[in-house]
Amino acid sequence: MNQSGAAAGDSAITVRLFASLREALGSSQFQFDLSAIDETPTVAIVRRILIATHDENWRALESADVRIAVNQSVVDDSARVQSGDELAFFPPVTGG
Amino acid sequence: MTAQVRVSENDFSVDIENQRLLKLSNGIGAIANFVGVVRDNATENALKSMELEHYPGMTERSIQDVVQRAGQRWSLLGISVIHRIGRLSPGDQIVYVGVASAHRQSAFDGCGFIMDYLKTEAPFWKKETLDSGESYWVSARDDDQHAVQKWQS
Repeated sequence: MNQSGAAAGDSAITVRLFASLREALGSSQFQFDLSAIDETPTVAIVRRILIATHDENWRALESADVRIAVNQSVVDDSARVQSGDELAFFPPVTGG
Repeated sequence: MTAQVRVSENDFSVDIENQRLLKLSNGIGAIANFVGVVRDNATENALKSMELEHYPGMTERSIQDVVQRAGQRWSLLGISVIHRIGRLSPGDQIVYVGVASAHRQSAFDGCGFIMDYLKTEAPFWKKETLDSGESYWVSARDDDQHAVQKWQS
């Protein structure tokens, strides 16, 4: 599943997963290549491709309570992503 | 206002942190503290340990953001927040908030505001393991969302 950063080239983003999502999907961080996307890439598009190209566990990314951050700022799934960005998916936070 | 934020595996001393807070500014007349502790009865079963995961970088920034908002809302002289990560045991300290001001009310309010927002915004996740060996990720609580809403009215 993990593409290498080099293979993904200049048009890659880093996808990060945390906590229960990290465990359920068996990955904490990987590169994702945007070059195959024709339209302006958004979180929603990346998520759709991730779900389509992995097993059904990855539907967990669609759960209503999944939080999204791009470059460590919380966004919704309409946010655009571009090469070099860091896109994170995580469950509701439980610190304190 | 001077603020310091630390995310660390290391334990902290409330006394030492309050002494540090006092040195951040002149004119301090009040310090409000909150200390969060690992409860020993997560469910009806005894808790063996807790693992705290975070998002390095984003966690620190999101706490800084909450701290700055508190500083804009109240007249505060110093804020210190420490949050632990890694493996903790029942009774261990998890989080320290110290808020210093000239008078008590803004220290109380600032401290409550910071904790309420930290719990709903800062990316930390708790995984609990029971004595039975069962482990699970802690769910977010609706009460924590309601606690934040009271600051928005």
